[in-house]
Amino acid sequence: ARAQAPIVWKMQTVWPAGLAFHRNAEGLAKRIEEMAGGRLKIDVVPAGTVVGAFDVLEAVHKGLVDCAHGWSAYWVGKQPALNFFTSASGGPFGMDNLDYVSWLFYGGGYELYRELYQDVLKMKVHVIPTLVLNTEPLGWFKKPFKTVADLKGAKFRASGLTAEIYKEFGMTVIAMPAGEILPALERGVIDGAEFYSPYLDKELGFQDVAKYYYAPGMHRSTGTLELLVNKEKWDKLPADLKAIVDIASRENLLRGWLEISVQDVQALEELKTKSGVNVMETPREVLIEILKAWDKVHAGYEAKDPFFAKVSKSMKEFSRQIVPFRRDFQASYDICANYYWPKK
Amino acid sequence: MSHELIGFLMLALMLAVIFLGFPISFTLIILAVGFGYWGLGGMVFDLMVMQTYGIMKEEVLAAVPLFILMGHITEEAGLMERLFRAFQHLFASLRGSLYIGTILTATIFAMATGIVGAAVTVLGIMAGQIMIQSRYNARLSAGAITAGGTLGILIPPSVMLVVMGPVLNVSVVKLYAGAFGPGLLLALLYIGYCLFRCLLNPELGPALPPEQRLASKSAVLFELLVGFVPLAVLISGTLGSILFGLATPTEASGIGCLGALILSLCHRRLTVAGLKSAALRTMQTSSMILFLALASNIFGAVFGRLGSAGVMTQTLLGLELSPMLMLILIMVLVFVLGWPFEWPAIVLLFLPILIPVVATLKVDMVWFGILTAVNLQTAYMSPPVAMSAYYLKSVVPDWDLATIFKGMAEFMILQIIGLLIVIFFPPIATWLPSLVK
Amino acid sequence: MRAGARLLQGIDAVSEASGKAVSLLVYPLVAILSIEVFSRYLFRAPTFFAYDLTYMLYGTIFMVGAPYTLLHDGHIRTDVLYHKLPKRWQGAIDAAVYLLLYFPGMFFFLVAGWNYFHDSWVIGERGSLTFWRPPIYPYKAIIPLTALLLLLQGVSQFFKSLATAISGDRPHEP
Ligand code: NA
Ligand code: NA
Repeated sequence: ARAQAPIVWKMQTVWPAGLAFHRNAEGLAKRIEEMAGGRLKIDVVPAGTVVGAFDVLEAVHKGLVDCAHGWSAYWVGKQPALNFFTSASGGPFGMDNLDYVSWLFYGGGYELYRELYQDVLKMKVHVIPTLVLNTEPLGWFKKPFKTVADLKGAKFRASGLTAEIYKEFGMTVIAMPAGEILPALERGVIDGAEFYSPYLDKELGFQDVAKYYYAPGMHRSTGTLELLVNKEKWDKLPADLKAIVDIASRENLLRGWLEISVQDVQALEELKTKSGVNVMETPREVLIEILKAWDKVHAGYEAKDPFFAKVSKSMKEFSRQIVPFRRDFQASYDICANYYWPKK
Repeated sequence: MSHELIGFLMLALMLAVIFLGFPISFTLIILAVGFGYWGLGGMVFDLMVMQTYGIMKEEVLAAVPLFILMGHITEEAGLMERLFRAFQHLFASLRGSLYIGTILTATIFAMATGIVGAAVTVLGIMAGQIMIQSRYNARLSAGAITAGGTLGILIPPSVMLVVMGPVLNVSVVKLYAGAFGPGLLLALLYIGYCLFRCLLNPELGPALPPEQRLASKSAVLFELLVGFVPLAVLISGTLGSILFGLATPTEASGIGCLGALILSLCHRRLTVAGLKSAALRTMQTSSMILFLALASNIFGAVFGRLGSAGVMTQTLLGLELSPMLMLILIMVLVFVLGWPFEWPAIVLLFLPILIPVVATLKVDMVWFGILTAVNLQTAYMSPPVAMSAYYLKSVVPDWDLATIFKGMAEFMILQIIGLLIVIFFPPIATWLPSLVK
Repeated sequence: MRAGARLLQGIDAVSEASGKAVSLLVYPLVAILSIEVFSRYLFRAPTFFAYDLTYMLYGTIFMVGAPYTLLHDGHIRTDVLYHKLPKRWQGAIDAAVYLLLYFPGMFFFLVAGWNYFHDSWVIGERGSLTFWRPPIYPYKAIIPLTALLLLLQGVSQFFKSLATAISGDRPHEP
C-alpha cells in the first residue's frame, strides 16, 4: 500500500528564536516526529512569525496555527484562574514542582485546566502540560535593595497575577513577552525584570543592563509550560498519534526540566565570573511579604470569580494533604546541603 | 499550487500592482487577504485582525504621533526656521551650507530619537521650505533630508537595534555602542558628498548672497543663540533623558511635546486654532505611517504563514559558499528585501530565517547586526515602499516623488560605500562594543 | 441624484468629524505621559494607568484617523506613473480597485474585526499587561469601527472616482 502523506502542523511558540524554551519546543517537535515514524511533522516558528506572543492562544483557537508552545499567564486578562496553571505564589500553597505536577496529573488539576480553556473560555484548544519549571529567581534589579519598602515606585516586568502581588508593595508591573524585556529594560520602560532562570535570563542578556540578581523568588515557585493544540486538529488525529503526542509531552516535561536545570548551574557561574553580576540572597522578610500579598490577592479573586475559587479550592485541598506530608517525610534540603557544602 | 509559490506570486504581483497608484497600505492589505485566502483559507481574516491589534498594542509606536506633534508645534512657533537660519548664517559663505545644516541637524536628531518618520517629517517641514526659497537643487535637497532622517534608525537610541538584539541574541548595549561609529561615518560621507557636488557645480547649493548675510560675527552668534539654544535644550532634554535612562523614548516624546508647548507659549504663538491644526496634521501623518506599518505587518505575516520565507533559507544553505561570499550574499538579500519591505518585517520575519545560515559563518554577531542595520537603513529609501520618501512628500508636496527617489538613489550609493567600509574595516563597528563589559 | 449627493456629503462629514475628534486625543496623550514622567521620576510613584492608556490613545488616533486620511487623499500612493495618467484614467483605476478589491477586503476586515471584538466582549476580557486590568473589549471595538468607517468612506471615494472617470474632472474636495 502507498504510504500516507504525513500530517504537518504549524507550531508557533511565545518565545524568541534564540531562547532555550524555543529550542525545547523544537526538541518536542522532533521527538514527536521520530516517535510517529514521520507520520506527524511539526514546523516550529518563534513568536511574532504569525502573531505576537500574547495572541498565540487566539491564533490556535482560530486555527491560524495548529499548535503552540505557551505560558498561560500571558493571557490572564481573559480569566484570572489561568494564573494557577503557571503555578501561583507560595509554592503554590507550599507545593514544590513535584507536588505541583502531582496535583496536575493526580489531583484533578489537569481536568480543571481543560475545563478552563474549553468550557469557561470556549476556546477550541486542547491543552497538554509540557515542561515543569523550577522556582523562579526574584529577578534583576539595577540597584540593590533590602526591604519591601525599597521596592516602592519600581516599574518591573512580570507576568500574570504577580502584577497584583507587587502592587501591594507599591510597584508597577508590566507584562511583556520574553523578546521585549531587555529592550524595555534598556529603554527604561521598566527598572527591573524577572524571566525564568540563570540559563535563560543569560540568553536574554539581562546581565548587560542590570547587575543585581536576586534569588530565590516566591512569585512563581514552580509551574508548567503548555502545548496548545487546535481542538479540531486534535480530534482528527488518529488515536495512536494522540498517545504519541501525550507521551512525548510527558517525556519533554521531565527532559526539558532536567536539561535546563543542569545548564542553570554553569550559567550562574558565568554570570558571576564573566559578567560581574552580583548574585544576592532575597531577604526572607521579602519572601514572606510576597506570600502575605498573594493571600490578599487570591482572596479577592475568590470572592469575585467562581471558577477561580474552584481551582483555588482544589489546589488548597491537595496542598493541605501533600505539603505537610512531604515536610515531615522528606529530609529538608538545607540539612544535607549545609552538612556537605556549608555556605562560605 | 504550493503555498510557498503563492507567496512568491503575491510578492511579484505586489511589486506590479503598487504602481497602479492605489494607496499602498490598502493595496498591501487587499493582496495579502486575497492571496492569503487562496493559500490559507478563511483564517487569513483572523490573521489580519490579530496583526492589526498587534500594532495597536505597540506602546513604543505611540512616540510616532508625539514626535510629529513636537515637530508641528515647534514649526508653528517658528523655532526650526530660526535654527536653520542660524546654521545658514553660520556657514553662509560656504556653498551648500543648507546641506551641512540639514545633515548636522539630522545627526543631532538621530541622537535624540530613533524614529525616522518624525526625523524626516520635521526636517522636511523646517529645511524643505528654506531649501526651495534658496533655490537649492531639489534632488540633492530631498536626498540629504531623506538620508539624513534615516540616520535616526542607526544612531542610538534606535528602535530597530532594540528589536534586533533579541532576534540576534546579542546585547542591545553592544549594538548601540557598535552603531555610533558607522552612523557618524555615514553622516560624514553625506556632508562630504554634498560639499563635493557643490564644489563642482555651485548652482546646486548657492552660497547666501552677501547682501543677505549678517553683517557682523556677533549678529551670527546672536542668531545662533536665539535659534539654537531653545532647541538644543529641548533636544538634549529629550536625548538626555533617554540616554541617561531618565525616560523612555515614548515618555521623552511626550515631554518633548510639553516642552515645545511651553516654548511656543513663551514665544506667544500658542493658539487654540493652532493646536487644533497641529493635532489634525499630526493625526493625518501618523495615520498614513502607522496604517502602512499595519498593512506591511499583515502582508509579512501572510508571506511568513505561507512558508515562502522558509524556502529562502533552504535555498541559501544549499549553495555552500565561502563565509565572506555568503555574508555578502546575505547583505545583498537584505538589501533587496528592503525594497518592498520595511525593517520591522525584515528584522522580525526574515532575519530569524537567516540566523541558521549566519551561525555557520562564525562571525561576530554584533558586527553582523551593525552591518544589517546599516543595510536596512536603505530600506527606508528603496521604492516602492520607501517610507522616507513618503514622509518627505507628505510635508513637502512641491517635490514630486520621482525627484525624491532620484535624490535618494545617490545617497543609497553612499550608504553602500559605507557598508563596504564597515565590512572591510570591522573595528569601526567592533571597537566601541569591545570597551563595553 | 440630489439625495445621492447629500448621502456622499454626509459620509464625508462623518469621516471629517470623527477624524477631528480623535486627533485631539493627542493632547491627553501628552498629558498622561507628562504626569507619568513627573510622578515616576520625581515622586517615585509610577501611575497605574499610563501604560495602558498610552497605547489605547495612540491606537485610537491612528485607526479612527484612517478614514479621515482617506478622505483627504493622505494615504501614500506610488505616484510615479499615476500622476502622469490623465484624470479620467486615474478615476477609472481608483473606481475599479474600490469596487473589485477594496470593498470585499474591508468587508472581511469588518466581519473578522467584529468577531474579534465579540469574542472579547462575551468573556468580559480585561487587560493582561498591568494590574489595572481595564476592560479591553472597548479598545478592540476600534477595529470594527475603523473598518466600518473605512467602508463608508470607500463608498464616497468610489463615487467620486467614478465621477472623475466619467467627467475627467476631480470633484471639489471639502
Ligand atoms: Na537614533
Ligand atoms: Na524600501
